[in-house]
Amino acid sequence: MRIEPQGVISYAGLDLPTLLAGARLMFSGEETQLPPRFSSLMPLFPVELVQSMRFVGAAAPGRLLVSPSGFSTDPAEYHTMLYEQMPRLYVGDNLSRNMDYEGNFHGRGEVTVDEAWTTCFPQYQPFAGERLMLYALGGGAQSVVVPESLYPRAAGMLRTAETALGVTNRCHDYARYVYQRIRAGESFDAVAFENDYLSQRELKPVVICQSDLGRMMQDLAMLRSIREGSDEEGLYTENAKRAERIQQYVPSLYACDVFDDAPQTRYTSRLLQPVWEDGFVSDWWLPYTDAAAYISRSDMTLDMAALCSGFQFAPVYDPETRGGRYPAKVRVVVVRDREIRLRMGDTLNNPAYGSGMSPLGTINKMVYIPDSRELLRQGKLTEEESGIRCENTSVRPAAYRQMVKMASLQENKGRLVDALYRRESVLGEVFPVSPEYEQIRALMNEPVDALDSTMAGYEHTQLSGYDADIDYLRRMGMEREWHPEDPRKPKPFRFALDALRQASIESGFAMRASCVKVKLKELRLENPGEDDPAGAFEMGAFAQSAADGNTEAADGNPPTAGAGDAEAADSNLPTAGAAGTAGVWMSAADGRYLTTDVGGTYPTDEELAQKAAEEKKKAKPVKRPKQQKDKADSLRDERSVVLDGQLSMELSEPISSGAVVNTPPSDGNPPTAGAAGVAGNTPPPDGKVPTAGAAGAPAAGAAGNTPPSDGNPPTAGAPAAGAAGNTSPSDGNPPTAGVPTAGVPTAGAAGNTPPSDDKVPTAGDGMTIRQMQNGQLKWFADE
Amino acid sequence: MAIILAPIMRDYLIRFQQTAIKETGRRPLTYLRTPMDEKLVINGCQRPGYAFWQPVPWTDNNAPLGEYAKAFHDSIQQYVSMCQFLEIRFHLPVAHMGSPLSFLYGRTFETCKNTELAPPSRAFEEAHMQLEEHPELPLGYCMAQTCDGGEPLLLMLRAEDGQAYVLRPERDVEPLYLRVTIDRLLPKLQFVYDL
Repeated sequence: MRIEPQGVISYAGLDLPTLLAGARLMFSGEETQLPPRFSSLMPLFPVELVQSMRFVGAAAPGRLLVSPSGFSTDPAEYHTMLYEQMPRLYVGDNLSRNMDYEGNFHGRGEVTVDEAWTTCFPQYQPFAGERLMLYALGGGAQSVVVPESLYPRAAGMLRTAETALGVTNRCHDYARYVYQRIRAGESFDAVAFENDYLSQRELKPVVICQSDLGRMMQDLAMLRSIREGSDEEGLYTENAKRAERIQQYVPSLYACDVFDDAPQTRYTSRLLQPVWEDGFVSDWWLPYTDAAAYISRSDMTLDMAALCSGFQFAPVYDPETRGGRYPAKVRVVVVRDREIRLRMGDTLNNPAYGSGMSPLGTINKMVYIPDSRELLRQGKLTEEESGIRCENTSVRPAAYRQMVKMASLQENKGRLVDALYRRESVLGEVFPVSPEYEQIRALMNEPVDALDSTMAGYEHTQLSGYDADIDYLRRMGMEREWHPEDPRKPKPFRFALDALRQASIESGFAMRASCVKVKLKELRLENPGEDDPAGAFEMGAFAQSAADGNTEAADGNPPTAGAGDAEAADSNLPTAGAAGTAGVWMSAADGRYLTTDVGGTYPTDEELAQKAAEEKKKAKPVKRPKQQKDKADSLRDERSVVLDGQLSMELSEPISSGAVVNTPPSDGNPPTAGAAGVAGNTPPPDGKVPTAGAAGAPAAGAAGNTPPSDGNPPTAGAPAAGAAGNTSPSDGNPPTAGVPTAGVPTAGAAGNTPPSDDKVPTAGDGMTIRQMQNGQLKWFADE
Repeated sequence: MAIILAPIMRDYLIRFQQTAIKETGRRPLTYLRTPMDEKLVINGCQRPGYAFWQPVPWTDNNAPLGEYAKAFHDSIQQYVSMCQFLEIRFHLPVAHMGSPLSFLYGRTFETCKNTELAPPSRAFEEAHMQLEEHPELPLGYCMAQTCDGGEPLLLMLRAEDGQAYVLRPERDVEPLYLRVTIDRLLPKLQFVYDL
């Protein structure tokens, strides 16, 4: 949209910082407590919304569509002008209501706040669905559209604010200027009159763009969330609003990219997609032209590993090989409908899974088509037989583990980007001389420092877009804190606002914020009752805390398994430092031991015995009427019986050969709980690792999430739950899930493989209760 | 004497729908929007961007009145509690000249929607916000507003006693009281079906 040099005449000559300060005051709600819907209310309007209306004349009785100041209030005139400048605002029902049968836009129909409007003007998001009403700025010559709740119902608020900011006086002055010239016989020309007014009054034009307003609102929203201690921040920049609806981000599986609208060309007319299972259609596609670089033309064989590395697709865990596995099939489609919106992004931010570069050294691109499955069903995408065979679909265990480790690092980088972005946004809105500045600064630096420490030692990993974002935000912070005593002192760094970096950061922030996060405790059964052992639920809570710890720990490797002595045995227990490693060691034998603080000391045998006795006293059978007992209750009862049985198990009795031995693998490097490939897995009853739905949504597939029926890439469900629970036992058995339901231990056995030797340990072997019931050690009693 | 609004509201809504069918041959229209109160929408409208609608009762007959409802007259609470409804357009029964209310003649008002997405609790809360902004004006529930492009007018119901009055946001004038409460106003409204 072209911005006229005269700016917004209603704000001409007014002090821009004063205007913005007044707007900030209203947005922050410091003076008056506003209802939540009005929290994003700003008495300033961006130049993109403002239209200069024509002069009609005095408002005679019965003459509608004229304001008391004599300017037109015809919505059709306004919408017609705005449609010429920003046609993307009028889509769907708004467009159909305002088009005649010949396809001409008339603007006489209702226009409501829909997705197109909230994307361009996020401050209208709380008023989604409301009709837009014409509002004259300051009662003068220029008009904007606002939701009907703001005008006319809350007209007083806007009028009061404009009067306070001096906008009303400016508008009245300009209107009087127009009257003078009209009376002198001139015909009204908005652009000429505004330019002349500015030059005659010697006023500076003032322009407020939506991008500036959006950034300011975003910063203020973050500051407000910190002051109020709430999680609700909202997204107010256009980049963020666009990215918010791209449901593709899954922690540690697929990172964020900047997506741009792409035209339909020959390059994007034919697309390819790796397929895990027939029937699941991902929204991710690769241009066939680029994918063809990995296909051998002689026998139409596709090197899947090279393809996935080139496009940074994550493999899934393969329990048979204990490594990774890529899809073994592909799907090729042709785009038939030219109206389909394509979005393309560079493969930059998943370096854990590949270089992202084509064989020719260029950055590969991926295509995102929302609701691809439905488009296939409608025939707007048509599948064609490709005859492509896939080979090289496996990933070696060591390479897979390395991928998972690096993915966890990349995830931490993403969180660091968010932490830095929040810090710069919030501190940019607080004056350094303010008494709360230091406090807020310390608060915002805390997560940044914590995440920085987790990445120590990984400076020489493959760079990604995240690294550029981190560098940009660090330099922004240095710029903010640059207060040399001698102003002539040259800066040791360079910083300039970069629109591309800003877009990348805002988009990534929005995508990560929109990722569905489910806390394990929210999955818990309601009203657990008194007969539930504390361990069952604390195990779930531990799983969550362990998973959180895993995402923060750069090195998720647990200590290597010792053998032969108590010290080595103790080294297998989670230490205070390696918070993230604790989840790997979760034993299904007895949930009691998982109730201790992550990284804390374990209770002594006497404390355990005392605790068991106390729990036995507390446990009372809950008497419920038979008709109220449901399946959940029966499961709970079964579990409580099992665990109660374990707690009361006499240690002198020999443990059966089916006892839990969650021995660490011989190489000491099981996948971490941040193991993205199995994040969020709820294993099916047969105990096998769920296969990914489709590699096209590698995150979803690798996470093992059941593909949703609507074809949208599934969001990360409970990564904490799955991640914490999905260990990779050395015996190759499928990992047990972290959620209590799947981890129900049977008496004396957690369902994992029996110990490699046939010796059955007894209590008299010199082992402590803790060591035996943890099952984390090899039975070395006889060694 | 307490106002029992239920039969009056029922007649009002039935008259609205039946007159629509009689005069236009179709059910009342509303414009489609996102998000939409799907419960009120009736399929079958061929006009792009519009849909048929009908009032529906509240879930469990329990209207979300919110904490501020106590400050509003019982007649207002009954009005919003009766059912969910969208925009109903009408003219006020005023003389076209010779009356201080003649400026209302021919003006098309549209009721504020009263649905799960726009619950009465929100309307009451925002009315309180308006009172804090303009304490010189009475606390009132916004029943309708003009939608014909002319000078914006608000048809309000005073919280104290349910009396109707008109506000003119563009002018700094006192509210204009109609000296009628909602139970006497509803039967006289002249519906408008053009969209």
